[in-house]
Amino acid sequence: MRSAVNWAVLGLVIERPSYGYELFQRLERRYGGVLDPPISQIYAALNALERASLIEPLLEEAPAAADPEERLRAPARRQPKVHYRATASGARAFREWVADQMREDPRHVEMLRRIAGTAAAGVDRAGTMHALVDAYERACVEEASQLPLPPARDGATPAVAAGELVERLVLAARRGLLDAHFAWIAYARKEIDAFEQTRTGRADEPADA
Amino acid sequence: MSLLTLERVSKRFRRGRREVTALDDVSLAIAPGELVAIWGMPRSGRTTLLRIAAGLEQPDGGAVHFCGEAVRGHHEDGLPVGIGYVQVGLGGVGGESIADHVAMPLLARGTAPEIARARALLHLERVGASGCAHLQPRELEPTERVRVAIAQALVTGPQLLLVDDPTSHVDLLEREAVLLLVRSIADGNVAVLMTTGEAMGVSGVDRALTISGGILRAEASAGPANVVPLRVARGSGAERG
Repeated sequence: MRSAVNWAVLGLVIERPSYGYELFQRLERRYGGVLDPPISQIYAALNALERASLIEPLLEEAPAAADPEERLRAPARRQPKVHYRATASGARAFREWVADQMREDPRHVEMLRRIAGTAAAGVDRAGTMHALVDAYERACVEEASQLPLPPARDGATPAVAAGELVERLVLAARRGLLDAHFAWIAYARKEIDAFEQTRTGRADEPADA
Repeated sequence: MSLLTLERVSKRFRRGRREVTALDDVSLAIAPGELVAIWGMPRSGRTTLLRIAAGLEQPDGGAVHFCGEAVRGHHEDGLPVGIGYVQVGLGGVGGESIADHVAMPLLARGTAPEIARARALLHLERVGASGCAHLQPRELEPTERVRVAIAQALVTGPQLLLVDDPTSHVDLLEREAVLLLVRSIADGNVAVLMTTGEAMGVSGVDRALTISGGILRAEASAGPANVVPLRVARGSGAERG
């Protein structure tokens, strides 16, 4: 699967079950300006993901995702929206894809190696894994804050010199990688929490607002 | 002395029968003229943090001080004097020109209409949006919408500007210019606390933090951002002075 939109949609569905239009809005909020697919492409992505058995439709409304107040307001006779959730192989494929994306970054590979080591043994594993992610996040935010803002483009003459063009493109590539790392960090924290909850049998409420 | 301080601020919201934590024990101090960016995903608590700093929300715990005075809920009275809050979704009502919209905070404080309008035009020029003065809100491009919102927040002469994710709906090629504008405002000795959802948003700031799950996490103070070469060594912080 090559489409970045498909992977982005899969990532959002893994976060929580969702339906076409909601995914369209969430994708816009998360990746607006980087990925701006028309809604038809979201539905195409859902079809492709379902065909590949990476997601599956939930026949009932997704109780975990729906706002109870919103549900009260919705007329009872309205056609239920088809929510999708990720299958186990969808979650696995997404993890492999993320790992693939990160292969270029030795610092990241080193951190993944340590997380894997921590997950296998040790006391307070979640604490240690979170500390690794926190340290990685510090490195990323430090790097991002040190990237220069290039001089503003002159509105009258938007064309830039060849050297400046390359500089801008290199800078944009580095920022793009950092964006991917930041998204990964948010994902990793949730995964580590979920891992720890499975291990301890707790099912705490997620605290994100 | 710090201009703005948040001390151990927490905030919870009820959503139906559930309770979600928006901010969890957040402490932060902003110095005069400092540009601080907070990177966070949507629903990380980043907007709540700004709204509490502006007194638009009351924290459940902790304290917020601006210029040494406690910031309380100001739903009725507008923002505390000295704070500008940049809301990009400037009301889409027709009928009034952008210049009138930008002048509105001054008119609300009893400034004479002609003076308010003159100041509005001045600030529209400062943010590079003087061409928008006679337009209506619905005629603005996304990038102009941000510039106009900044002008409206600046028009009362604040010492602190709170800016919520200024680039998310702006065309990719215009984002740098918006961030340079924010940088220039801080260089003019107006402190800026800005949220962002992209790495670009923390480029060239004085201090960058991240927020997730309502907790402030990583913090980096920018070194000599403008002279850092494009190639930065990986893996070790030793190269950074």
